[in-house]
Amino acid sequence: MQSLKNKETNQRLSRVNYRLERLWLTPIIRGLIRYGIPVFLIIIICCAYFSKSDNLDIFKVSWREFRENIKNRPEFLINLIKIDGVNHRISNEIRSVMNLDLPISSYDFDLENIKSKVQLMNIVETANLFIADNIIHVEILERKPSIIWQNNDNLEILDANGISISSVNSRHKHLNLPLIAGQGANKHVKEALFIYHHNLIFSEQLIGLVRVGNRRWNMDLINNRRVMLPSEGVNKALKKMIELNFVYEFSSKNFNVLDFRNINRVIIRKNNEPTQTIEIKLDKLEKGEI
Amino acid sequence: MNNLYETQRMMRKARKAAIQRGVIAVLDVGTSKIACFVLKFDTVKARDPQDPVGSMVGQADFKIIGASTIRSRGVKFGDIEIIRETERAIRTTVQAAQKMAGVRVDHVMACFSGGNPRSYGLSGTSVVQNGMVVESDIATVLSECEIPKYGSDRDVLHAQPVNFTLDHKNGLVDPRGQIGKKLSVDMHLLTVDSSSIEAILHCVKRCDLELAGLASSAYVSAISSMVEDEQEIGAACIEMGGGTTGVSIFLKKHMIYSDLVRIGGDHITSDISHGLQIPIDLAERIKNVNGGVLATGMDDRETIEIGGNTGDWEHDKRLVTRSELIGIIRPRVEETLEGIREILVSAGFEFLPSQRIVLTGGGSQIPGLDQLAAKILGQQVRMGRPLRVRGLPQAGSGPAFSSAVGLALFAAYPQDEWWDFEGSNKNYAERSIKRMTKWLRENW
Repeated sequence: MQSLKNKETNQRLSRVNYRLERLWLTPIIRGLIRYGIPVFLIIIICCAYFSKSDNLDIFKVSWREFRENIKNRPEFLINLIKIDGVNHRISNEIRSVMNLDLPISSYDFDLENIKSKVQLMNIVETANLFIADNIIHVEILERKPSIIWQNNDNLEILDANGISISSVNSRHKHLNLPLIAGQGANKHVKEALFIYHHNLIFSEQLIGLVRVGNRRWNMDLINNRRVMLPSEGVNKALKKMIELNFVYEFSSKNFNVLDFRNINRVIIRKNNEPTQTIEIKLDKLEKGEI
Repeated sequence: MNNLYETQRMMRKARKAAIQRGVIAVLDVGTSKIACFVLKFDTVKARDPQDPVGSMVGQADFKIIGASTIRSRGVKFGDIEIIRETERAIRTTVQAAQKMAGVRVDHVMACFSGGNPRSYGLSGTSVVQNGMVVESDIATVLSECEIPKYGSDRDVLHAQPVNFTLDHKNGLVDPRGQIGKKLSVDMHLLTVDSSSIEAILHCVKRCDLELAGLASSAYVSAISSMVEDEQEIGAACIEMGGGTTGVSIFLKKHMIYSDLVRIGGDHITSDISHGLQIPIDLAERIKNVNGGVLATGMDDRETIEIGGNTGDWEHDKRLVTRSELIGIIRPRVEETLEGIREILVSAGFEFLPSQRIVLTGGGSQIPGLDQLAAKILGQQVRMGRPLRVRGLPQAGSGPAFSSAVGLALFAAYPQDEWWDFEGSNKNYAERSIKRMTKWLRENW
């Protein structure tokens, strides 16, 4: 007979070992021990640490310091704003709009926000901002002044899309720009420019275009003369004007109003015969009867 | 009897649950070693009826993911003698197999060789109820079998219907769906001592496992080491274990007889130990390295240093010739084989269509055994190796593991046994209650 006592403890140990291993092989227990307990411990430790308000303040301060340290590294500092595509005056304006105190960390401003600010400027058509080598590069595509709009005693310079670039006090500096007037004229700048470019007959005598009733254009000529254009089909009217000019030589004629509102029934109102109108019939014209 | 019937049904349920979970362990409790395999079942697929049925069919859908073997303790002659020792051994091997598999095992199927197995051939006849044979008819005819008085301290381990006869048609494997009047059945009943079953149940329970089936190791090692045609036309499988040598006779793919010779490899070892006066583990080593049963002239010259650690130089430096060793081993092997011959004669093995004998188990590895067995048992002797199973480690593929591998196959494809047929007429009250609960479940 062997001693049983030693074996007894051994037996119990092996049984406990076996049960523990089976427990470890149980998926749910395994998951809990592997992930549940560490996560729980971390949460508990964090909670215990931050339950003292001093600790939280210390943490906040040290966190802020840490952030500042990283933010103020020379790699992240912006030293220069480089603006391309505009003259000196406008670039100063853009700088003031961007409103950045250099040097500044690139974490302290929002490039998208600044870009939208710059883009809101009248003079700017598109802006492209990017950061490279501690420099903010600003690439500006300027709006081109193409027309002057006289609106209730204000003079505004518009681009080809009718967007206002700036207001001016007098035309003196901008005599090269064509003039338009009238309410709603700024919405039809393209048409106005078209008329300016295709108006071959009265180009010398044209003062400006007037928007009438926010519907159609009048060409104001020197000597208080006018050409009334239709609201639709301006190009046809201009073409007709050229055709008729061969016969009538409008430019040399003395008239008050030339009415092209209906191109099939062009009316000339003359100065000396204010009540008389002449109707030009297209078919007669073509037949050469007139 | 009824109690075991219920126990067996519980085990079947446990097996079903295990297969649904996909993991089951098989445990071969032998005299010299305990082996544990952890099986993983793939998703259960319905077998394609167009598929040609081969010998490996259906065996590919489980895989061994954990295996371990340790020296057995507390087992003598295939029976558990010291429960604590065995329990601990089982625990250790299950733990190692689990660790290798990386999954927890809850269900285990076990096989053992001891318990004085005794075979009975039964037959019963009954009238088919409704013209066509259904499952309840099979249950009826099985319950009509006259149960022999096998003793109150014994339990049924296997009760397999082997052959059905419907009117004049004999040799039916599955009579279900056939039309006839008189159905009779031949059944093979294997009983073992209740105490050995209880010992295993106790050990498994103490390991926090659930027993999902029990089998005789002679039966399961035949499953793994005999090929299909041997099982079909008749063969005997001889499983030479450590403490016992099991015999199982197969015909028409069913075990029809099983018995046990209570001599095994451990007896050879102890003979060597006695004869050469050396410790048991040294004797075991000499047996494995130099053992044999056929002596030649060469063996007279081949000397073996038998050693020993007594400190006596004369004693520890002895030499024996291999012929002397064979002279010790051979009588014991002959005794075993003669015992097997007696069993085969009493089972009427010579009347089977084929007298093929398959030797397997760890003891069958003695060189020259097949020639010696051919002299004693008949000419058609071959060495059996267990079937290859997916995931089985190389160390577990030898003949010593034929019962463990067979148990794995048995776990995947169990034979229909008596308790698998529902609807016995004997329990009329139980049936009506069942019907009532079924009705309630369907209507509420």
